[in-house]
Amino acid sequence: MVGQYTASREDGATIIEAALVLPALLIVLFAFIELARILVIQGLLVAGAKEGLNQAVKITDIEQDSTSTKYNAAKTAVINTAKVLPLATLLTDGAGSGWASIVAVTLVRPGQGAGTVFDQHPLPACRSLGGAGSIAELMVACPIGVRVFAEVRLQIPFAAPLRLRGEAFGFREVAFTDQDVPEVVR
Amino acid sequence: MKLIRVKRDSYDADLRQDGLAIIELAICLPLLVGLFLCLVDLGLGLDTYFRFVQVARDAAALGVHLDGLVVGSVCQTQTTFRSNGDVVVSPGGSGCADAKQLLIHDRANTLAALFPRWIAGFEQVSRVDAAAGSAPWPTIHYAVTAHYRSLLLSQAGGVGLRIQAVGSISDTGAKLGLSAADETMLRGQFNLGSCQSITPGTVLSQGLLINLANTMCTNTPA
Repeated sequence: MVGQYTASREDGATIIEAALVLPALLIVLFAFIELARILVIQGLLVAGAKEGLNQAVKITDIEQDSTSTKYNAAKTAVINTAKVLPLATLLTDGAGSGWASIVAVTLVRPGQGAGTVFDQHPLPACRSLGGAGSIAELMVACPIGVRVFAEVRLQIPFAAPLRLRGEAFGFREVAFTDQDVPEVVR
Repeated sequence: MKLIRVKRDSYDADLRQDGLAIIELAICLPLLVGLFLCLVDLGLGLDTYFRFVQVARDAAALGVHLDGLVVGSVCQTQTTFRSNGDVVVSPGGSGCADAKQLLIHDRANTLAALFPRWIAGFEQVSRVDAAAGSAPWPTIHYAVTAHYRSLLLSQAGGVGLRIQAVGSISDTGAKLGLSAADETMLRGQFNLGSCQSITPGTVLSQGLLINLANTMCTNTPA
């Protein structure tokens, strides 16, 4: 008789406890996985925005009048650069089957407050030219930014897509001339 | 009778187990909560650090392009973000020997104005060193100590993180100069270290914008 298993009331209690706790544990595990997914996507959006910003701070054409062809070409180049990294990994452009869809990429330029919703500069003093003579002059004082918006398809039933934003702000680089480089380097 | 005693012993043992579980919980729960807060705090600290690395780079980058900075000049300012959204900038330490140098600090304030609320404030120190030895050009040293509101460490003004950037100033080439009128206005507004009211959003001749603060020293400390 040694080692023979005898069913007891305790076994039943354990099964009931497991039945109660297991769904809760699974929900917690699922929530952590979902949170991690959101954080990964957020990181990708910020990385993309930084890539776009890195280009925006160097292109001279970005300082052109907003109606000019050169400006629009530069803006498109920045937006496309910001998309490259997210699209090369887990995101899709528009409606797709990836983890999330990029719904908008915007360039936030000083002196361009009026108009579309996304082109508003976060610093009120930078939204219009004010006393500055030109966009180029205002850009010395105000940061330029790139924002990438995406919608995450959550794995929760009936949940609306979660909208995330990654952004990066920085200042324009002042162009160096040959004379800027010390002779010991040249 | 025996059966009843056995049941009572079992009941007592269950009670003891319950008590043990509560004590275990009382010991583990604070540790778990503390661990969680540590992780969140670490995240806040890292985020603050990376944000201010860019601030330091951008501030030093402007410094190397400002024309006519005074060699040997040291500027110190302190920026505080209040919970109601106000920004207060006050001179720190010995203030500032060269008003134009404050434009470097202004750039840092401009970027930091975009940061989230868990950043409590920061101190900036910039210094212009003369060309000497292996450095053929004057050098701008810029250091910022950023403070963030920690969840664990209740330190007045937040926990500090020090970030530093250094740039070399060439004496020719692309420079951002100031007109004499702008320089006079800057010196008048900042009065080189005393407490003055300033007008935010003032644009200078070269597009340099004064974003230093809503007020400078006119409000009581946060």
